[in-house]
Amino acid sequence: MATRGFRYYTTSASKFIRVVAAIHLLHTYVFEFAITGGLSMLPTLHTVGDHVFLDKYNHRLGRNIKVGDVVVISKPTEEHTRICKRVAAVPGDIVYCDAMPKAPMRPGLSDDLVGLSSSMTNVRTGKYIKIPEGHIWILGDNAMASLDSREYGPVPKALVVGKVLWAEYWGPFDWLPNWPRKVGSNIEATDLKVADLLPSSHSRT
Amino acid sequence: MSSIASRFRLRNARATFSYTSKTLLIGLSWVPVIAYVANHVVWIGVIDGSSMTPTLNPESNGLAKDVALLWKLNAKSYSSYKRGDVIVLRNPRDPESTVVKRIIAFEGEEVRTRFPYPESRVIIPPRHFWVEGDNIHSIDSNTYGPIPIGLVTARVQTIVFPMNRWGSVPKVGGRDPRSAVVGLSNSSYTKST
Repeated sequence: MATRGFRYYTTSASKFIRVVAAIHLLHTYVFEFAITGGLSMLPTLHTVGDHVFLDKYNHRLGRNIKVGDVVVISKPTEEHTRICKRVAAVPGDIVYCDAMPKAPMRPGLSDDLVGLSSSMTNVRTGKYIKIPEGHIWILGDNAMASLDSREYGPVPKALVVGKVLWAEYWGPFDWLPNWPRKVGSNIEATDLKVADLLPSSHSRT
Repeated sequence: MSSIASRFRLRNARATFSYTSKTLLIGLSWVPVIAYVANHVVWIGVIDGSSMTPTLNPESNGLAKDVALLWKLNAKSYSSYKRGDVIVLRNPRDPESTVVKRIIAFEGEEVRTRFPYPESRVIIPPRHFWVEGDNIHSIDSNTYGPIPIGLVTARVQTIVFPMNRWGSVPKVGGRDPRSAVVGLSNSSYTKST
């Protein structure tokens, strides 16, 4: 009986690694489907079961990112983890970081208490922060239960993995997935500048 | 599918359009594999700039640039780094460019910062590094603060060119961690290089 020789296995292996490398390249630099979970982006994304389409080609490393985009970034305080939040400010903007104490997450979770000053505290102090060049301010839609730039501070744009374009919900008990829905900006970028919001000195007559 | 070598042994092999295009396609199909190796295993890089003088690029003219091996295996794994490792990371202030610096301190350690950092002491957040260039005039963590592991791209361990400095990159250089890190003896990371 003829057996498959050495040449067959080396050829199959070479085809396999070429296909796997091509798919990996596609996933890293063009697009990817990812599964999201957690409460921090309610009501935009479900707690479980949302599959999102990530555009990496246009938005890797924070290229062309605008305020209101939902992006996936590498988590700053943990390796090999990614988080999905919305961009609230881009370089040059000034944000006000609220002073509310953070809602307790799960008890016993020794989580990332980074703090915005050198001391790692559980209470965020209210302060105005100007976003440095090359950084963005991310915020979860469900601000009460979201670990975001209010803890991490401005996040370098190079951590951005991609932008979420569509989400498709396939619930744990559903037979079929739902139709994809567009995840868009709910913030209209306006031309307001900081000067427009400050009291003007010449108007009273 | 026969290999390229066997094609050349065929008596009737000719430079036809179909032969050239097939060979070209097979060649192109190997490009993603080489790209994977270049991004996740090892590649070669030319070091630019003088922030790591005199360890790297000791010549002051811009013509003699060091060439080094960039090891990318386990580049995103925090525990694989030791104090004194020279790493390549994405510039926090410009995501399109990369910088080469040396690791001085790990997460949880307190660092005495240098000008122009606004605070004199800083505790490194989880999974962040404090990096500094060996040159005292470098723009490093003293300007942009601790960097997250997600920004690190590769580690520089071996100089390939020029030949008189061929070999491992020196593990000491720049500020001595014993003067930079407060309480280094209590750190859970390795104390010396």
